[in-house]
Amino acid sequence: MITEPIKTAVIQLECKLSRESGNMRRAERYIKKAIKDGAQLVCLPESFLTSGNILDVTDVAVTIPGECTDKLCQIAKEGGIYLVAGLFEVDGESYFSTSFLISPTGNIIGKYRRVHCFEMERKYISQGSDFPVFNTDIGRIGLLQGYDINFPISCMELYCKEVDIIICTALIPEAFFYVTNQLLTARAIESQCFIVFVSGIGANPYAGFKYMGRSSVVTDPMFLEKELFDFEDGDETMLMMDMDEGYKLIELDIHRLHKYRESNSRIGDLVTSSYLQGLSLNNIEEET
Amino acid sequence: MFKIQDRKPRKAPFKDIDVARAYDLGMRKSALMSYQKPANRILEQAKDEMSDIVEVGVNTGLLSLYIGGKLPDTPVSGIEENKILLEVAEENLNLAVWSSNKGDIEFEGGKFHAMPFEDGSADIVFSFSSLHMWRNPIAVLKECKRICKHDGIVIIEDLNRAAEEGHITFVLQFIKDGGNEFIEALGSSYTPAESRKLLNEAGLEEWNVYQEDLGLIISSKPIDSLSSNLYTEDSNDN
Repeated sequence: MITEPIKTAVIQLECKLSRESGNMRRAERYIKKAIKDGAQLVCLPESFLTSGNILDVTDVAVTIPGECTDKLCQIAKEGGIYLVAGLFEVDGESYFSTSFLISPTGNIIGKYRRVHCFEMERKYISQGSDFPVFNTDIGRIGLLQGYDINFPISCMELYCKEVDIIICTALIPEAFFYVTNQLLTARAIESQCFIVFVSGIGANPYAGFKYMGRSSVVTDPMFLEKELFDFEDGDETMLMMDMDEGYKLIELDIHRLHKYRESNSRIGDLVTSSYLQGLSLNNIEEET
Repeated sequence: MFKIQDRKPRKAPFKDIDVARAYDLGMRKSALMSYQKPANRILEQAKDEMSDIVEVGVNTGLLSLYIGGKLPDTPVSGIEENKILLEVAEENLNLAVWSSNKGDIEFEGGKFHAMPFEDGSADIVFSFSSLHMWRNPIAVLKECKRICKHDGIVIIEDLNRAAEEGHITFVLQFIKDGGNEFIEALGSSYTPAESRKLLNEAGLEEWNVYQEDLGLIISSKPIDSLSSNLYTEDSNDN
């Protein structure tokens, strides 16, 4: 049973194109600093090693496990932490945008290959097919990536699997900050869990935009209110970083979340037999 | 003639990216020669299997790019406090990467007096044309010592305000753009005697101060090629 809040480090890394070595050096330094500060769970952004260099994915993608994850596993083992990060993954002839979870014993517990990819991305990377949840000593952890937040069904899948913490690694263009921030709050309320949105910063000179940064941690405000009785609007945003590189440590009270869900979970009210049955894009088109 | 008798600390320059880009272009057009000797001094200190070379104050990144290109297997990490200069340095590094520079170079923002490197992690710590901008030079000197390995070396080069006037006029004739920038930097630079005092106050009495042409060189260990240029309390400091 989890009784103490989980010290979680959000590393907002500047992810620089074609700068794998430098990105790794800085990431490594922040992870070690977080370990020193007592973090139990450390999170890095999506494609932290290469940035969103999708045009060169065939050159920059790495295997999982591989050299990069071996290094991260070693650091996680030395520090006794859970670690989440995103990479472009190559598996045979296929490429994915993948997040993975490493255990304090230095093993890869599992990975998530991003399911939702927009049209241009699908020319370069393949889509994943499921939304796994991993049972750990610090709670049930689900992984998502930035674009998934646009699809309520992503979080709903994880909610049905009783996720405690959704770690959403992200590299989202700055223009989508406002919308993404709105969606994150809604997804956290819908899913009655914590969402750790760990976002990269930096410029993508290929595409001419900057990544949004503003990493955040959001949760369902109702469970805060239930316990504290002093909830004020906005409390659901437990952390919001700015646009600078750095890391923040925050405590996630999984025990309190569980207590709230024991009596207030909506999972029992779901009517899964009525959702998306026989629904396909073709059906929608026919009906309209 | 140049009215640089008294040191005049500079206000933070380069608040505008276009000014910084113009300065960078000026350096590339007419002042690359000034990088040659410092670069060679750093490269002379190179050993096999170094873990890191750190530049304190990367400016627009030119010297780190050169060193990184010459030592492609050694990580080179540059720290810069001025965000505008750092942005120009990143532009230069991106172009270098795009042009297939083989160096393992990384630039990042950070405070010189609290650099993000572990104790004893760098084989060479160097700085070029940055000392005169340091707000707390004593703290930065101590920080340079902290991050440098015991068998490593710290080399800090800057303009010498006590340089002979002939050197100043000689250099000025080659500077096509940025003459004012140069004079301002010179006026805010330290003399060898002032440098010695900074070192003593930082508890670095064993470090050395050299003067060469227009330059001032501080090193944590003796540099053989500069032995005849060593500054001592008895030297003439103008």
